[in-house]
Amino acid sequence: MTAVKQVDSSAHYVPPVDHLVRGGFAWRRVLVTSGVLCALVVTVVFTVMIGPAQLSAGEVWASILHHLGLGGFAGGVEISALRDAMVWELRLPRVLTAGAVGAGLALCGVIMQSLTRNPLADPYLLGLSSGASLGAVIVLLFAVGVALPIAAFSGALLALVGSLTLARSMGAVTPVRTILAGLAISQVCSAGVSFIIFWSASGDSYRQVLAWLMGSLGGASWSTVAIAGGALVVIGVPLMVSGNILDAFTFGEASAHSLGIRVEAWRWGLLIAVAVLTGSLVSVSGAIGFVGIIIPHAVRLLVGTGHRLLLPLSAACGAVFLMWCDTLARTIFDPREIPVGVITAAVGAPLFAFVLYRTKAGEA
Amino acid sequence: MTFSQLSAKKVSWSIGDTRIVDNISHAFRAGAVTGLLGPNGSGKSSLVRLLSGLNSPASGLVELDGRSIGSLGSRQRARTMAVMDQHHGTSQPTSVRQAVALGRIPHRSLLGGEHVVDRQIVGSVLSALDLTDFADRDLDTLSGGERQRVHIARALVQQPRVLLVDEPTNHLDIKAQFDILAILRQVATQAGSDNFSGTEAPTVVVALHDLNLAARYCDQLILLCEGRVVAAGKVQEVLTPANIRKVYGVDAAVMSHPVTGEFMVALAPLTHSAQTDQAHPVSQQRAATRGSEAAHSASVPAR
Ligand SMILES: Nc1ncnc2c1ncn2[C@@H]1O[C@H](COP(=O)(O)OP(=O)(O)O)[C@@H](O)[C@H]1O
Ligand SMILES: [Mg+2]
Repeated sequence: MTAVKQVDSSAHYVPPVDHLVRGGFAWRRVLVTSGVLCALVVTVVFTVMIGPAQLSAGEVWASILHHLGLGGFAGGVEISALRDAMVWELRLPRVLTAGAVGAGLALCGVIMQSLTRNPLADPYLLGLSSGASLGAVIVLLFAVGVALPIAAFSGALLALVGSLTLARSMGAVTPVRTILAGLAISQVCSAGVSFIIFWSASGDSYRQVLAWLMGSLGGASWSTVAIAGGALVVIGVPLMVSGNILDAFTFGEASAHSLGIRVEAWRWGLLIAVAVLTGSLVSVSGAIGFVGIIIPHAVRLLVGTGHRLLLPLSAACGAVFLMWCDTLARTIFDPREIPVGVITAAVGAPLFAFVLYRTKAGEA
Repeated sequence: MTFSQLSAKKVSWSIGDTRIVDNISHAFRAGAVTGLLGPNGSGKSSLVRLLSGLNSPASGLVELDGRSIGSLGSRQRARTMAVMDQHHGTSQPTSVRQAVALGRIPHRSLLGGEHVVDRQIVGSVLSALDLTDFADRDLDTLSGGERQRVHIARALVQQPRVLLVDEPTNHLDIKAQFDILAILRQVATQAGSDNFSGTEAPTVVVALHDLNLAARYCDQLILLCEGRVVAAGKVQEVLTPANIRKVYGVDAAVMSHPVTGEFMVALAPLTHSAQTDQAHPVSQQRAATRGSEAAHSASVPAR
């Protein structure tokens, strides 16, 4: 640099117009945002029409429009009660559950990565998935009289409480301690899960447990839509307004404080909201991996790191991603179905490698 | 002279049983750069954190505009005071413009986005700090000096009347150190400019290690040792050979710069004779501290 310019002289400096409009990037954001919204609509429209049962597009939409009280738009297509139930009771709730779970996981992933400033953080960081798995496995194998989602949700919350208590017992509750405590709780729960499976699972029950552990949407119904969708609306949508707050955490907590953020309140508030949302999602789908890590990184590549746009776009992309992954899970080995967690891992791992590669290239 | 918005009144802070900041009182001068000096561990960063409200004093009071800093709303505080702390890394790829624009957050509502005014302020600060050419570069690709300018720019777009800066010149080459401190000086002396809210002169407080940088760029100095103020006041009053020897345990001579004629300090390790003449004064003090807290505080001139 030549010399420090006088700060005084620039007090009335008017930036050139291109600074205000910032052509390229602004357009890119508009394009990406509209693209993602279109993809969301297209995904819902198409994934409900795809499935092992041979249903025509006309039948599917006639059924849906009919149930929505818009039968008049269905164009007079008749559909049998059985085929109607396949659409309305199986396929649509499954697509919607996939969308809600995917959106929630991606959203939680963004927030966890930002709060912990750890690019590898995911929504399951505080032992939530292992806790949920433990709860679920107990119900699946011991025929305890508790509904599966309730057991899984309780397991997730117990793991959260365990992690926070453990972190607290180590002294001041810092993010690093919280993560370490989460890791410890997670290991304990995993050991419990392995032991129970080893001890009492056999044949069919083993497959059922495995499907749950890998994450599966096979149990989707209108009640899972209500749980996952309800959690998304009640917790996820308010979380989307935390963009400015998360931006302020970019350079750590001290600098967030300097920017006028109530660091303690926001950190714990966000952490607990994320935990409850994740717990609700896991309770209906099991611990579906990769969505919460990969989607935030991919969306950052597209629109940058500003959280005001990153949060809603990640949610939308997470929904699209999981709806397509689940469609593959339902159809690829028809008539057998595989857990969607296998697909997200198979698709997610190479995608992750690509994102890493691009991120690195961008930095170089 | 004007006393500013910021003052510490008998501020103390401890970790466990250890006093880290011990009964410090000081009214910071507006329109001036006040340097915080002292060896590693003397409590400079701790004092900055207390002044910024990040930590609350165990006893005593930090006042901003005549109100206890703890009683101010976070946003209101952030519109009055900006802090540049010692450590700031990020795991996310962040452009220079983005990093600087974060400083506008205290000026908008929870949901608010960037306005044209925000962009204008960011643009003008970027240009004032000669950062316009780097605006779209990733922070990781900048040199240390450029990166420090970015962090100062972020503090400046907050349009504060009080600016706290902790060791901004660490790891920078000599020219970059001069540049950073020159910027801070300009900030302190530019009362009533558009970059700052209100018409009062800004108050700048900066923790430093280099005594000559402090002598050249600060108007007022506070010399800390083990959490206490050893000396405070004008540069020549604080940077005396006796004070420097007492706090840092090195020999010092003060003189005029051979070319510029400015006040400067020449330093050397304690000579052998000096060491035998008089045992290392700081360790003497430490012994006194352990023996009797009262005896020690009596030996430190009250300010
Ligand atoms: N969070 C902390 N935990 C334990 N000790 C601390 C903490 N913060 C500061 N200290 C101690 O307080 C003393 C003063 O530290 P600091 O304010 O960072 O000094 P300086 O900035 O002058 O080097 C040091 O002895 C340091 O070890
Ligand atoms: Mg320090």
